[in-house]
Amino acid sequence: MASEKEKDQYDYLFKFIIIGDAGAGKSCLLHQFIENRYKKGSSHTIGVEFGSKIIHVGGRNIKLQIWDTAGQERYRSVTRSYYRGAAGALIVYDITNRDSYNHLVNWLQDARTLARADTSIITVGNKCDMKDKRAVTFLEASRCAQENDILFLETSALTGEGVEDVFIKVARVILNKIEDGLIDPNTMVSGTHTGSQRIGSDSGGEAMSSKTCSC
Amino acid sequence: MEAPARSPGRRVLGPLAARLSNLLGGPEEAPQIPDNVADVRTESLTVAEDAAMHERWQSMLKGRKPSECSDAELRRLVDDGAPLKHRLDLWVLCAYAAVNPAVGYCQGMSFIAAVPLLLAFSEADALAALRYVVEQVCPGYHGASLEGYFCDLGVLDALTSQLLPEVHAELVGLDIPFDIVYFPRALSDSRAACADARDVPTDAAQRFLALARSGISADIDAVLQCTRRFIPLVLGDLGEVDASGRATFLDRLRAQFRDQGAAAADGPSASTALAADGPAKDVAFEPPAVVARVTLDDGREGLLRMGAADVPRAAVQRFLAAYALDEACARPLTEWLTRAEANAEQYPVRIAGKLPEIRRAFGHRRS
Repeated sequence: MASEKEKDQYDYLFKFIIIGDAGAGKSCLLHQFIENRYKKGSSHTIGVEFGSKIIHVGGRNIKLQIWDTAGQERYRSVTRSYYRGAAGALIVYDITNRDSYNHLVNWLQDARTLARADTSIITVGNKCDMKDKRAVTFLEASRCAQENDILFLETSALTGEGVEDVFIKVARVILNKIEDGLIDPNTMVSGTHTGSQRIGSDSGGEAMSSKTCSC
Repeated sequence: MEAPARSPGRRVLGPLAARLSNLLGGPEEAPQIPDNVADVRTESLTVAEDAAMHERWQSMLKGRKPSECSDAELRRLVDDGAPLKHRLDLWVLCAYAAVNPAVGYCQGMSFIAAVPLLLAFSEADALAALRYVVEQVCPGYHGASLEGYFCDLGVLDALTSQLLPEVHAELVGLDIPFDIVYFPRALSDSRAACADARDVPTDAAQRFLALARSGISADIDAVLQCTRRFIPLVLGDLGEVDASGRATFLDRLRAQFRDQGAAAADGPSASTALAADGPAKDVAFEPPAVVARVTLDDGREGLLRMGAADVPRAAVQRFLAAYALDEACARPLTEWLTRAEANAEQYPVRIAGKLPEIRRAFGHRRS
């Protein structure tokens, strides 16, 4: 069993932001990813909250530093400053709420202009367990993602379906960019950093260590 | 909307009720606390009771919103009491949005309004408490543009840069938006109080009282407490300070940052703007902290002006831009300004120097 010190070691640190309309399930998505369970009675986010987790992707230990933002319109002026340097962006909408999907383009524009040009973006259709209330089809959202050259997955923060895949998928894309020389992991502004210490051998599963704090 | 039927519940602790009542009661809207608090019939519920109530509502609502129910159905629901969530949503937050549509609903209000409810106050009292906190304690914090928040953020950022430069520099160096540091102390305090309330109501009450009493300015007060001597230096004239030594100073600073707060909605956050450019570079700061006349290499005379809520580095950057000077001059000029201010006995500091000499004197120093 790895010691606490070893658990905290990683090769790269990626900054992720989670954005999207209020009530789309951003915080629950983060909570499901970090804690592997649904956050019942979740309340509105104020400003920003944080979570972090080390995942194992492509033979590397990657620490994800995840910034979960408040979705309400009036908080945008606050949360805009949090985009800077994000290597990955999750734009979450609620598949049962057409409006949250319609606003996707606005969030996408924010992510592209405020984070960095080559931020890896995934759009996440959350609440896919509520099939009978679906207002946005998988095909429609998938096509929209293709047209905008971003990734797409549907998730259920309630059941956990697809949640881990979202984070791993984005991390893998960023890792590929690093290995292709498109992103320099040593630059602060890129939203990626190299870890201070490399673990000698790869051990453990996908999720090695996690912690959360709120702000 | 009719008031919900009341059901027997917990009793409010007398001293606590009185304190909260005194605190929250404005001249026109004092919460109705009877003289004999033992007679108060409240709707305070334990977590288990609230959960049971919530389940009852869920089973009756069948996935609908309360607004989608008929009046008769609503009456049946309400007559047996409402769970905390719906009491908050229906009778406090919706009511507030109706009372003050200009502010409406802002995420985070529920954390403020839930505390009085958890402490067994009525919805009317919770609404009065919410109005007091939102409109009196934190004016402008919850409006559409959060202008009050940005204004105070600018003030606190400037104060920190002036009074705790090491801390400020570290935050800037780490590229951390200043409001991340500020948020937990500002808006989230009420949330923390709410989260704790279910377990330790008295502790939550104390924290809520502290928030209501001193509000967001507690942070600023803390900075000022540590640096009391700084106030007359900035103001230049002690006579302008009010009896508490605080209001005039804060009002002045807030006025300086008000415009910047409004502008934040269209640009980077106030903290980012400050970190990059210093506070509101187009705003003439009164009074100035340092006025420096610099004779440039070509014989021109430049005016380097640093405001009371400004920082040397930002002032120098503006100066370099205004006179198209080389970045290499930044460090010596910053050192020069910093040294002059450190040695100042009264503000504003007035100094003069020649750029070649300043470069020679301070160019080799570590910044």
